[in-house]
Formats: sequence, C-alpha cells, structure tokens
Amino acid sequence: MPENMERERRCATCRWWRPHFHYPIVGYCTLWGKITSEDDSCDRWEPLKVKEGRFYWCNSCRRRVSWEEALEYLKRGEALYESAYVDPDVREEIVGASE
Amino acid sequence: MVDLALLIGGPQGGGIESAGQIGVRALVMKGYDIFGVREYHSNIIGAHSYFNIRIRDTVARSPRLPVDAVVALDAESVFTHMDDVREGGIFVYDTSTLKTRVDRIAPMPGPLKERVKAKLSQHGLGDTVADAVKYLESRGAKLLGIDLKAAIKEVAEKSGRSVVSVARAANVVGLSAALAFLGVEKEYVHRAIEAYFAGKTRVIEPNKIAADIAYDYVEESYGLGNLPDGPHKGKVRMVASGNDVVAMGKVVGGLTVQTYYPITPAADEALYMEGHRLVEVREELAEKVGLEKLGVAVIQTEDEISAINMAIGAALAGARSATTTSGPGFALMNEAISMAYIMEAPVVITIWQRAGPSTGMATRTGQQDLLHAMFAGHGDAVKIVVASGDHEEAFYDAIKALNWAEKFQIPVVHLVDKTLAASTKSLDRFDLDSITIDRGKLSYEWSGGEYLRYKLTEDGISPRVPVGFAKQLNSSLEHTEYGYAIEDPEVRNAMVEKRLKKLDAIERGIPEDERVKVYGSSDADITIISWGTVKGPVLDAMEKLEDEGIKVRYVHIKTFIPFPVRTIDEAFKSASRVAVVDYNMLAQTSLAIRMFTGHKAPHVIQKFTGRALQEQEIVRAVKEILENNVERVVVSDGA
Amino acid sequence: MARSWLEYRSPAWVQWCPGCGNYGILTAAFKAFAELDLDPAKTVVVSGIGCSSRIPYYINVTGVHTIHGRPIPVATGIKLANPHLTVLVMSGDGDLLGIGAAHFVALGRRNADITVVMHDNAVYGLTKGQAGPTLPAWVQTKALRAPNIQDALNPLLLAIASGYTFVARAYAYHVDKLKDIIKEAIKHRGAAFIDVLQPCPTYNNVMTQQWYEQRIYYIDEQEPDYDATIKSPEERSEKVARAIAKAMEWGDRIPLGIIYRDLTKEPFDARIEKIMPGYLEHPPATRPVHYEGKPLVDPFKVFTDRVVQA
Ligand SMILES: Cc1ncc(C[n+]2csc(CCOP(=O)(O)OP(=O)(O)O)c2C)c(N)n1
Ligand code: SF4
Ligand SMILES: [Mg+2]
Repeated sequence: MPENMERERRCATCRWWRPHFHYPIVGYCTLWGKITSEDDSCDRWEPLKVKEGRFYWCNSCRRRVSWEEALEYLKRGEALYESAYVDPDVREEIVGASE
Repeated sequence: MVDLALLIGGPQGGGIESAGQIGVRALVMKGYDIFGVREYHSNIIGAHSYFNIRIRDTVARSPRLPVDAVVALDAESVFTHMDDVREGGIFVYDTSTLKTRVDRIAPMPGPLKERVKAKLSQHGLGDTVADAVKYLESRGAKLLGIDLKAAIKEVAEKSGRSVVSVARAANVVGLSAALAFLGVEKEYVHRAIEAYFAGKTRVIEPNKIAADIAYDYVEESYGLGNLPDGPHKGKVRMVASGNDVVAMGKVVGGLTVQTYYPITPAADEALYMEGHRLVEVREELAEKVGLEKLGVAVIQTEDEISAINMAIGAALAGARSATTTSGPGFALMNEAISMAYIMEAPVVITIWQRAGPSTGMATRTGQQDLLHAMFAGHGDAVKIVVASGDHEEAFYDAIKALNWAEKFQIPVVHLVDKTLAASTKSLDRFDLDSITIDRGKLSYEWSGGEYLRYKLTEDGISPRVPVGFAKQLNSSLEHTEYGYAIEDPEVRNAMVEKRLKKLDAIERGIPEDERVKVYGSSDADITIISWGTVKGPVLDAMEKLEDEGIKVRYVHIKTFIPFPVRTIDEAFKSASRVAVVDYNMLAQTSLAIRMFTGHKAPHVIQKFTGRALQEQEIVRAVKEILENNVERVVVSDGA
Repeated sequence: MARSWLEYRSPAWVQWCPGCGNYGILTAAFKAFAELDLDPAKTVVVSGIGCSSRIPYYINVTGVHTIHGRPIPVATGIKLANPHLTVLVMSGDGDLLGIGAAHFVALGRRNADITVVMHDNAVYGLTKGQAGPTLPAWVQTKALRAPNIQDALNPLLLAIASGYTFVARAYAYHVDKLKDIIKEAIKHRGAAFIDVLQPCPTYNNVMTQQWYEQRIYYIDEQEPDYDATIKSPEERSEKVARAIAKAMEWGDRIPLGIIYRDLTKEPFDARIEKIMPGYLEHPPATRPVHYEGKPLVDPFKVFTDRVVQA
C-alpha cells in the first residue's frame, strides 16, 4: 500500500483486519468479529506493527513472510497482515487430492 | 436443440466446487443432461481451477470451448479465460478487480502472464482486468460486471449474519448470474442449494439470498434468459463423479475388500466407498440372504505394495477384492501382479491414469499407462485389461472386472483416467437386471479328498476353495497341482500349458462385443480408433462433423487384453482413412494396435496438456487430416 | 492331544543345509501346532522369499509362499478377509526387516492378530550370505567381501515401537522352549513377534551355535520377577521402559523369553468391528455378495447423497 493510502484509515490497512484468502476485497475484522470490505473503516483503526520473531501474510505476494521480510515489504508498501482469513468450510471446497 | 456450455473459474478452495455442484444440480433439476469436468492444479488452495459444464437435451458427454457463459470471480480467471467465451456469450466478472494488473497475480504461471500481455497489447490494450474486459467486448462478449464487495455485504445484511463463507456467497452470486442469463429459473437454483447443502440451514439461507441478488441484477441489466425445460424433467437421476461410479460399481458388484494407498486421482474412489462401507441390502433380497446390511472393508495401507499384496491375500481367503491407484502406485505393484498371476489370485486393480512421466502433472489427465498396464508383471505374467469410456461404462466395467477376475482367476486391470475421476455426470437408473455376479469356480466346501489348488483342467481353470476351507498351498514359485515348489521340466510345461489354456478360456469367454464398440458405419470418410474418455469428445465431434457433411466412424476399444483383433483388422481393411486418438507421447494405442494386428495407423491425433479432450479439438483435427492429409495432429485446448 | 506332531510334517523334501537352525524352528512349529490342536485347513502359514521362507512347503497346514518382503501384507489380507483363521508369518530377517520393513511396522500399528516368527540368521541365506539387517557393523561373515559397514537394527525395539503387543526372543535349537513361546504368541490376541536366533552354519560363521549358546539365558529362569505385561494403560510407561531395557541387552548376555506383552490394546479385527458392525459375524471372505447371481445392492437406494429429483 502506498504511504498516502496507509494513512487512509481503512480496514485494508488496519492491524485488526485479515483479508479473505480467496477474495481479499473483503476480510474478517478480529476486533468486531465480522466480515467487512476492504474500504470500510471505524475509529478503532490501528496500523500494523511488525514484531520480532513473528510471521505475517503478504497479500501482494500471496505467501507467509518472516518478520524480517515483513519490515522490508512494509517499507515497500506491500499489503501486509497478521494473517489471512480462510473460510471455515474451505475443506469442503477442496476436492480431488493433489499428487 | 439445447447445447450449452458454462465455465466457472476461480482460486482452488474458493467456492468453485460448490458452485459447480449447485449449477449441475440446478440444470439436472431443470431436466437437462450434464457433463461437468473439473480442472485443477496440484495445490491445496489458491491456484487457479475451473469447472466446465456441458448442458444438453440429448446426451452431454464432453467439454467444449468456447462456452456460452464464463463466470470469472477473480482477476486470474478473467485473464485465463478471456478467449473461452463465444461471441454473444456472457462473461461475468467482479468489478472490484478492474484495476488489477496481470503481473500482480502471484499464483498465475509466468508464461501465461506473458501470453495474456502479448495478446492484449496486440489489441492496443494494457494489462489490467479493465483491459481484458475491453478485449472481451471487442470479441462480442456480453459483459456482466458484478460488484462482489457490495453483493457480499448485501448477503450479510439480508441474511442478518456475517457471511463466514465468503467464497461460497461470491460463487453463488456469479453462478446464479450465468444461470439467470441462460434462462434457468431461480427456483431451480434455490432447490439445488437446498439439495447440495442438505440440512445445513445456516448455509442455505445466505446462499439463496446470494442467488436472489444475482437474478435481480441480471433481470435489470440484460433481462432473464429463456430456456425450455429439458427432456429429463420429472425423473429420479444421479449426479456423480467417475470416482463415485466406480466405487458404486464395485459395491454393487459384491466387492468385500478394497485396499488403497492415497494417491490422486484414485483416493476419492476409496474415500467415497469408505463413507458407504455399510450398505443396505435390496429389500426384496434381504430376507433371502438373511442380512439387512453388508460391509465393505476399505483399508488404507502403508504403501501400494502392501495395498496389492493385501488385496491378493484377501482374495485367497475368498473375498471379492480390489485395490485402486494411479500410475506411480501401479508401478510399485508390478511384482505382486506377477504373483497374483502365478498364484491364480482373482484381484482387480483400478488405475486412474494421470499425466506423467514420474509425478508429472498429478492432477491432470492422460492415457500414458496403457502399455504400463498391459505389460506390467515380470516373467510372462498376463492379466485382463479393460478400459472405460464414460460413467456408465465405468459402473458396469467395475462389476465385469470383478466377475472376470473370479471367473478366470487372474488379475484384472480396470483402466480409467483423471478426466473420468473428476467429471460429474447426470445418470439414469442403472439396469440392475442386466447385472450378473459371477464367482466362477468358487466353492466353500471341499469333500473330494486332497484339494489341489492348481488342478489341471480342460479350460485351465481350477476349482477354487478359499484358504481356510480346505488345506492347500498357494505358491509364487512354479508348483505342482497341490502347490509344492517344483522345477521339473514336465511339470513346468504342464503348468505353462494350464495357464495358456486359461488364456484360451479368456479368448473364448470375452466375446468381441465386450471388447470393442463401433459407432457409425463403414462407409464413413474417416474411422477413428481410440478408447477411454476420448469416447465423449469423439461422439460429439461425430455429430458436429455429420452436420457439415463429414461422416465419421468411431471404434471404441474396451479391452486391450484380450484385444479385439477381428474388429480392428476389419476397420483398417474397410476404412478409407484411419486415425488413432492417443492421449500420450508414444502413441501407445497405435503401438498396441500394430502389435496385435500388424496395422500401422496412418494418422494420429495427440494431446499432452493433461486437460480433458474436447469436442472441437476432434472436429478440427479430423478436418485437418481430411483436408491436408497430415500424419500427426496435436491438440491442446483448455487452460 | 488330538493330533500327533508328526501329522503336521509334510511329505516334501526339506532342502535346508544339514546344520541349519531352521530345522529347530520347523520342529517347534510342528509341536506347537499339535499341542494347540490347530486345524490344518484353518491354520495359514505365510512366508516371503528366502531359505526360511520355504517353510510352508514343509508344514502340513495351509500355506502361502509369497514374494520377497511381502508376507505381512498378504497375511493381513487373509486375516482381514477371514478373522476366524489362525495366521502366522514365518520369514527371514532380510525379508521382514530389510525389504519388508514398512510392512513390519504397519502390522504393529494395526495390532492385527497375526504371529510373526522371524528366522533371524543375520544373513541373506538364499542369495548366498550377504549381510542381513541384524548383522552388527564391522562383522565380516564368510561370504562378505568386506566387513559390514551398516549397523544392525534391534528387532525387539522396533517391534515395541511399532506397537506389537507380544514381543519375544527365542533360540532355534531350544525346540521345546521355542515351541512354548510360539504357543503363547498364537494364543495372544494381537500382533505377536518372535525373533528366533537361528544359526546359519553355511554363511554366518560368526554368530554360530557355539557363539549363541555362550551368551543366551532365559529371563524366566534367571529373573523370575521380570514382568513386562501391561494389564492396564497406567502401567504402560513403566513396563515399556522395562521391556526396552531388556531388549537392549545384547553382547555377552542375550536374554530369551517373553520380553513384552500388552493386554490392553484391541486387535485390528475388533477395531474394524467398531466402525463396521457385523464384520466379525459376516467377514469379507464369507459374507453374501449376490443372490442367485443378482446384485444385493441398489445404488439409487444406497448412494442417496448422489440422487437428484429432476
Ligand atoms: C524383489 C526381490 N529382490 C531380491 C530377491 C532376491 N532374494 C531372495 S532371498 C533374499 C534374501 C533372503 O534373506 P532372508 O529373508 O534373511 O532369508 P534367509 O534366506 O536368510 O532365510 C533375496 C535378497 C528377490 N527374490 N526378490
Ligand atoms: S544357507 Fe543358512 S539359512 Fe540357508 S539353509 Fe543353509 S544354513 Fe540354513
Ligand atoms: Mg536371513
């Protein structure tokens, strides 16, 4: 996310928000416990702080990254989150084994 | 005549499966015949996958491109399928992805990105979804942009709950938009949602609301389509995958033990069976056999070597026994196949072929294991090899394979593939009266003195009393009639002759019409020879070509051992032109034909991409052969 | 006794070398079967490939001579199809712990009611004396071109770790002692393993009869208080530890006898019965599969999750 956008207090830039793994235009707000859209907002918005030793979800590159990578990506303006939200019934949507 | 095709694409795990299954059910309820093939990456979640559904009022049996409607609910699907919709067809996409650039889609394969960018730039366009939408417009597609964000919010508001299963809501919106456009009434979608999520009220309501939103939206933008009811309306039918029907066939065919080691695309067959390990006996027979429920022991083993050996052990003890696997697993079974042959153990091995070599493309299809299946087993070991072309065949062949195994006391390979495994088909009632369960010379009693497991007989087949019911020896070494190891030249010859006689019995016992099926007449412009799931696309292409005045005959091989020598020989002699469709690099079918008949096919149509063969590919290839006399046509449709 | 042990002798010529330990195991099997009065039709000896694996030809019960390394899966299939049979696997150390090790482990995990008798000569007899999986490193037996550079594995530890619920060691030439252990193993409900130390005078010139007899001792004679039989789950950790310590003894003193027994784990057939009621009464080998050739199952009545009303 470019810096000017980060200042935008949207769900998409909030530390409480988890983008939906498959449809990241929506996501799950861990503070309110509900699905919100990326450009919703509320007054409890807080920016993401990267903590040592943790892993983060980079929605731009669609993979989990270490905190060292996360710091760098955050500077670059990538969409970083604590984790992604996966539908609770995703298992039922995965048919056909792989390999 | 109704002949439609619908493609739903999205990220694996992202609701494509339920959308596809709901779509198929709605269309079946509407009265149509359905064939839906699922294409997916070797990945758990996130990579692109899609469902290609064919809808016909006659018989649906192959996928085709372009389709009449594409539902692309993520940016990758828009780019991947931007050439897959016909002129005038509908393309459903999510407007909130319009700004997404090709290069920002992490899971998308690099070469595909490059091809998409090149294509768009040829048309003077950039590399965003918005550019792809312009490209689609220029191709004459009708665009239906849905604001998915808004739709998901609306579902949440109207259902009064947070939509935890976002992917399903999103997919039902997309699917419903396409069905509304094609003219399937909303009631069918509602009923299909209820049927698919049977009992889960928490899920049913939001999904019905998702359907309503899409129907309202299409009604406002394009107006609802109009589609008459299909001819199957009112019938009780089944919607099942190839994996399902093989499991069903085995259970109906009296299977009592199935072993397996998990592998794509075989595991789903075993899992479906395990879910049905206790089945009810037909009401009218329950009293007669004195049982209301029957068990099928489905056992996950430590590897495929164990799977086949355990199945053989069970067979020796009198179980009706099978194992299921794919190429890599079958490779591990090689040594035991030979043991089953010399031990005269009746066992069925189902091979769900996938794309090799090695791990290759594990979730993709192919016919690369034909020669592997035919020649597996060292030291002159023989087996029966039967292949199925569609769901109905697979059901009956599964039963036939069990019968042949016990009748001839020999291993039987049932060859199927990933296309069949992962395709969903609407099915009518199976003809139970046509099914006979044959256990050959099996008996559980022995009173004739010392029991000789390998007694020399007229037809080479010995009376079979299972282990546990007469003292006996079963041996992987060359043996006497009793089963003692022996290397005496005369006994050796007698035993080889016994096993040869058994091959004669198989030759006599499996008539030509069970080995091959011929469609069309010998005055055709071209005769196509093939097998397996090539059948559907070829039969569909035959109809299309006929409309254009090109007559095609199709010779569908059902058994490779024993081989339909007479029919294939006659086909070569009577045909003006012969082409073999071979879904593999070596043209294995052509090699088998040459080995058994001496005929060399002058033309071969091949595919290697691992995607299901499609109707239009055969149409194109046949024309290419007839017009330009090309020897080898390679087709590769499908993303 | 209803049957004399001589009745279990088959007419086949036994083709082992004159001093072979396999003779002791064969005789012990005859006697054990006779004392248990086993029905030859319902008793199944399954073997792989090796000198020892010829044994089904020599015992007058039902026999299955399979391929190298695979007697355990074949035996498991037989027992799975018909849980009412008495099933034994009698095979070599190379067969069971070399090529067939995966199956050896799997049988323990299933605790199938099968008795595994391992003819442990520490060499590959039939292929002319290569190192077997129980031959210690740096030993150079007669046929080896160089000292063995792979470590021996401990079959008893592997069996305990894999979940066998009866683990014992015996010596091929102490026929009566071996017979008693075989009887106990057959009577045990669950996976039973007997590591039978078997001199191979032809190829193993290191672990000879004399070598063994200087080292072996019987636990029940010298340590009558030794108890590693688990009768309730709470005893498990203590008794497993005791059994492991005993199983590790090797060198100057080699313990023989029942090392470990777990009476708390249900065998495989009981587990199947739990998820598939009716299995034991109508097992796969004998349950009806048709009525006068007609199928017993109507798919539209059974696979209702796939039925759609159009
Ligand atoms: C797949 C396979 N690989 C190799 C062989 C050759 N082979 C026969 S017996 C044997 C080893 C037998 O050793 P063991 O099981 O300890 O039996 P022993 O002869 O010592 O009783 C081998 C390797 C074979 N028969 N099959
Ligand atoms: S080689 Fe060894 S194991 Fe084999 S028969 Fe001779 S003595 Fe016995
Ligand atoms: Mg050995």
